[in-house]
Formats: sequence, structure tokens, C-alpha cells
Amino acid sequence: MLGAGVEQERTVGQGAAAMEISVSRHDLLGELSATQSVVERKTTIPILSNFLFEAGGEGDAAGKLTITATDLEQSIRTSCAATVKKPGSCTIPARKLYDYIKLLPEGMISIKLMENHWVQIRSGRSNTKMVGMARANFPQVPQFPEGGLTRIPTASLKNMISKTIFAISNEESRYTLNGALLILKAESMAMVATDGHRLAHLEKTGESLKNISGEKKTLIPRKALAELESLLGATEEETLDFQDDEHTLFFRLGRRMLTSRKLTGQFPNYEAVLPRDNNKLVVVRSDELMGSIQRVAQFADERSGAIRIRLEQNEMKISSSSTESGESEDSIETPYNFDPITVGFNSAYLIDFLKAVGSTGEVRLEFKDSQSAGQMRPEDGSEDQRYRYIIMPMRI
Amino acid sequence: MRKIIHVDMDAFYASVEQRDAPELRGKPVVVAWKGNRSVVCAASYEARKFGVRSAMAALRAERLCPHAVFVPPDFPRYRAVSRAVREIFKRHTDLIEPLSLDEAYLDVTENKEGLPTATRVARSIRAAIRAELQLTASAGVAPNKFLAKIASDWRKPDGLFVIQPEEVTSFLTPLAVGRIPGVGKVTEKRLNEIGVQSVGDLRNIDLTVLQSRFGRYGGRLYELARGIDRSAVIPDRPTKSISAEDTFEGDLPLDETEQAIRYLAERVWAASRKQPRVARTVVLKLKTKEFSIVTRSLTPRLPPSSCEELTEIALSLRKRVEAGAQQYFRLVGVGLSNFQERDELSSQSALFE
Repeated sequence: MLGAGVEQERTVGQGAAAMEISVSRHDLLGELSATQSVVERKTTIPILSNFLFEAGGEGDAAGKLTITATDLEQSIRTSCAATVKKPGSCTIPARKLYDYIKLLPEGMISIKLMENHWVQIRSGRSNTKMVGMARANFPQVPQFPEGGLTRIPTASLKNMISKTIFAISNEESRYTLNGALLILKAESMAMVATDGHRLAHLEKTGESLKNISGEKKTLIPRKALAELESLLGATEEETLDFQDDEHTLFFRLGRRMLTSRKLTGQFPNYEAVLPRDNNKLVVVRSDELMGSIQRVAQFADERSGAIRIRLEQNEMKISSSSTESGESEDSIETPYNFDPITVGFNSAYLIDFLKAVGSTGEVRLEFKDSQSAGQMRPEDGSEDQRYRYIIMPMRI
Repeated sequence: MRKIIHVDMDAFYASVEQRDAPELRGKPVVVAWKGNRSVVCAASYEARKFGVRSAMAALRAERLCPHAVFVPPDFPRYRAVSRAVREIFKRHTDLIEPLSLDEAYLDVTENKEGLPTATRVARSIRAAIRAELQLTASAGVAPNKFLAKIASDWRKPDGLFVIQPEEVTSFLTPLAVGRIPGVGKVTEKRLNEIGVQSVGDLRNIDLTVLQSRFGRYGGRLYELARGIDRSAVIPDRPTKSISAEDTFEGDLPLDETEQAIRYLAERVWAASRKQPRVARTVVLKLKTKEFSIVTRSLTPRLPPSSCEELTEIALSLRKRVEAGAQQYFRLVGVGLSNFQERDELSSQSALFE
């Protein structure tokens, strides 16, 4: 055990970098939970597995602990109230710290930088020293630019993300599709995502966005959207500050700020593929369609998941067959008076959409022929929100 | 002595567009996808007057000829017209080797109609294409494929050129070596360095010199210079792979190869569209300045279904090449292989094409 006097002496060597704070476990854990998902897990750059802690100083920063994490693609920065005994900074292994803080009882935690970048964490009768790394090695994180920001209503943004994010391509090779396009106008906003085979598009009107003239289109990487979705899920703020520069997107939600490197490349011309003359319509209950598709999909070819939808006089038939597992058909009674039509689809694509609209209410399916894109929409009668899902058929 | 015809449709895609849309006739028409990085698939002769060429960046074409009408390619339609052209060939011979949707070699040494000369066959084919399809084709007639191909280009568009066996030497002698199929700008430059400008000059170079400088291709050059080409017209050759490659004028580091990869992907994609079958594997090939070859390939779950997809995959394969900033490359190639019948894949169609 080291005596207090000796400890005092050991920290002196750190000079200006010395840091000593005390923070409530509840506040700290809340911010660590919000940031730890950005920390790089399988990194070859060890410093990226660490949080950067910066305490106090003058003005704005006084009485505050700022926590930063980055994987170089993204960064997240947040803060919580702290009693700053000595301003300074340190880095701490993120996962280990998060797991340890979760195991501590409620109360005040003291955090103190020691020699050789070790960090002492004390709470009640628990005393731990963690092996940190030099603060100087922590990468520079982009700063929120001054002025010109746009305020986006959080509820609308969250809804747009959850209704489009699933359509983003999982194939890393298709990097311009590894994100969703956010389209901001002065009085509306929209989000579009596609993997090249299906496309989700949600447009929300009746907004009032500042600093937008004409149309502002921004491609947001999937990881950043997922991060935003979780930040939006844990906030009571009504708006989010959005800003970008040449390379970086900036999102600020209260005291939390997320940055993401921009995706390069051009999002495809999605407007050209929005169907315009799909005039064979049918409306069915969402939960009923979901049930049928899930049952029938059990007997679809495993690799393609292909099922057939056939519309004929007041009936919708959903069927599948595969040489390995057999065949299956479900039928839904519903008004339909157009020419009969059969279209093949990937069942997983249909299920994704039905999950996004939820099991209550009805959905409208609009077709042209068996080679052209089908369109699905919730039949919810909302006037300020237009949600559409375009899906290319399969040849089966 | 064989009788070979090379038939090359004139500005094929653009001509089909002009044929089917009278308002486009007489106007500069550029067939190209929309998009900043798209390249021209075909340009009508009216557009070529302004310097617009196939495989040029669409944006550049737009600058050269701002009043050109840009039309997105409609490959199903071009394929259908190409099939109709092939039906006309079939009246004369079954020995048809298509090179792409718009050109083919025909061996008419024996022809079904019993016409006495290959020239008569070529005339008959060109007349039928004009009368039945309202399109024009240029044709070259010669004793082998190599010469027939040069000949079809000689009177383009809407021309016919015949190289009689006894004229081969006098025809070839003044020809610039760059006209030899397979001699690109880099090979041409290397030939110029040893004092070779014309095919006549090339004929004066010893086989051993050509082989030491150009390897196996040196042997081929030696024969071509003498008008010798023994390759047969092979009908319905099952395609194993389609690729395009380009030797840079100066060696390039990896991160400066993107433009070439995009351009090659466009070319490979356009060539693959004529295939009844679907390629599942994308291959990227690089040759270092030390001549060692690096290839990377990817077989996605679903075959690439658009040019954009092919391009993105080819570019992503580049990330899997470990090369320091000091490593320079002399050549890049993009290929498609592993062709499968469409029916074997219950294929998911693509939104963007």
C-alpha cells in the first residue's frame, strides 16, 4: 500500500497533464454506455480501444468531464458533471472501464492520473489502477464547425432511420450503398436507402428547417445511422444539430456529439426507379400478410428465399416450392379486380418492410407486371408522411 | 484458301436508337448511362463529328457536344436486333463467331447459297441488313480473321472492303503498326522505339528480336506482319471469361488506377450483356512494373447485376491488394468469369442498371 504522501509525489511528475476528478457513478455510466459502441473492438491501433478523458479547465469546460471515443471513421464526444480537483487528461481502456464501472455500487468515483499513464479508479472501498496510454497518442477528433447548422426534429429523424436503415446494402463492395441518403429541404425531409434490389424511401413534410436553401443531400454511413438511432432513442432533446464540412458529418444532440467520415461516391439516381404506373393494387392487413409470408418462406429455396405472389379475382395467393423441402401456399381473401398477375420476390425483403411498418394496420401493394418493381406502402392515411418501399422481382 | 468476312454494325446502339425514334435521326446521339462517371457506350456519326467516341467519359462527351441527345442504353433491345442480324448471317453460313453484339466473323469458304465469291456474300448480307433492319453494317473480306477485321474498318461506315490473297503484302506494307489488332498505344510506342512505324518496317525485324522484346506476342507479330493468321472461326464458343485490360502509358501507383478500372468495368459490362449466361465472379488483375501479376477475385452471393455493381466490386478488390506507395503498376485488367445459365440462379433483378 502506498501512503498518500508518496502518491502525491508520483503524480507531480505528470506536470500539466495531471488529472484528478470525482464523478457520480450514475452520470459516468450513462455517458460510457452512450459512447462505448464507437470504440474500435478489433483494432490494430491500441489507442483506439481507449476512451479519452479530459477534465475541467476554464470557462465552459470547468466542472465537466469530457469523454471521447473514436475508431477513426466515427467519433463520439460527450460530457458529464464532475468535481475537478486537477484539470488534465488521460486515456483508459474502454471496455474494461465500462465493465468495471457497471460492477461498482452507486456513489462517487474518483479518477486520478498516475505515473506511466496508469489511472487510479477509487470508489468506496474499491481501489483499482488501470493501464492507460499516453494522451498524446489519441487521434485528433473533428470539432463541430461554427455556424450554419441545421436543426432536425429528433422524432422525425428517428422514424426515418428506423424505416430505411434495413434496406442499406450489407455488401461492403457496394460502398456507395453502404449508407442512406438524407435529403433536407426547407419544408420537408426524406431518407432513402437501397441495396440495389430494394429501396426504402420516407418523406416527411410539414417541417421547418433552418439554413436550407433548395435541397441538401447527404449520404450517411450505416454505422453512423445505427449510432444516431441509439443516441436518438436515449434523448429527450427535441432537435438535433446537423452540420457538415468537406470530409465529415457532425451531429449534436444536447451534450453528445457524433462525427462520421463522409462516404465518397454517388448515390444512385433513385428517383428514376420510383414506379409511376403500378396500377394493379391490393390492400391487405399487415399482420396477416406477415404470417402468410413467414409460413410460406419456410419452403422457399434456401439460398434465394424466393416466394411467389399471385393476385386474382378477390384473392392473394402466396406460394413457394423447393426441391429440398417441398411446397407451401397461403391464400388471403381481399378485394382485387384487375388482371391476374404473378410476381416473385425475395421473402426476406418483404418481411423487412412488414417489420418496419409494424403489425397493426394495412399495407397496399402496387404492381405493374412480373418484371417490374413492385411498391409497398402502409395504408395509414397519414398526410405529412409518405413511406414507400420499392422491391425488384425475382425470376422464378 | 479460306474466305472470311468480318461484319461490324455501324455505331450500332446509336443507330438502333435513331432507327426506332425518328426524331433522333440526323441528330448527334450519345448512348450512355446518366451519372458523373459514366462512359459513352456508343455515339452516332453526327456526334462523332464533334469528337465524341465510345468509351469516353459521358461528361466529356457532353462538353464536346452539348446539344447531343443522351439516351440510356437498352441492351435487351440491342440483343434482339443482334439476334436478327445473326439470322441473316445464318442464311449463308453456320460458322459464325460473334465478338460482341455488333460484330462477328463469318467463315464463308463454303456458303449455303453457293455464291461464287465472299464479296458477293458480304454484299448480300449488307443489303439484307439494310432492307430488313434499316441499319447499316461495314464488312471486310479477306483470307483470314486478322485481315478481315482491318478491312471492315477501312471503308467505315456503310462500306465494303476486300483484300484479295494476292494483295495482302501490298496492303499491309504501308499500314501503321497501330492498326494491327492487339497493338495498343504502349506496344506501338515500344515498336516505334526500335524504328518500326509501318507493318513493312515490322516485317524487317527478326523473329528472335521480336520474341526477346515481346515474348510470345512477338511471334504473333512476326506472323501478322506477313498476313498470316491461322485462327479459325469458332461458332458458339462458350465464353469462359470476359475481360478487358489496359497498359498505362506511364506506370501508376495503386491509388491512381481508379479511372482505368471504371473504364474497363464499363467495357467488360457492356461485353457481358451479350451473353445468354451470367458471370458470377469478378476478377481484378494488376501487373507490377516488375511484370509480376496480382489477381484478386470475388464471387458475391448474387451475380453482379449492373455496371455500377461490377465497378464497385472491382474497386473494392483493389483494396485487397497490398502494395506500398513505392509499388507501381504497368497494367490493370477487369474480368468476369464463372458463367452460369440464368436458369440455375433464380435471379434477383436490379433496381439500377
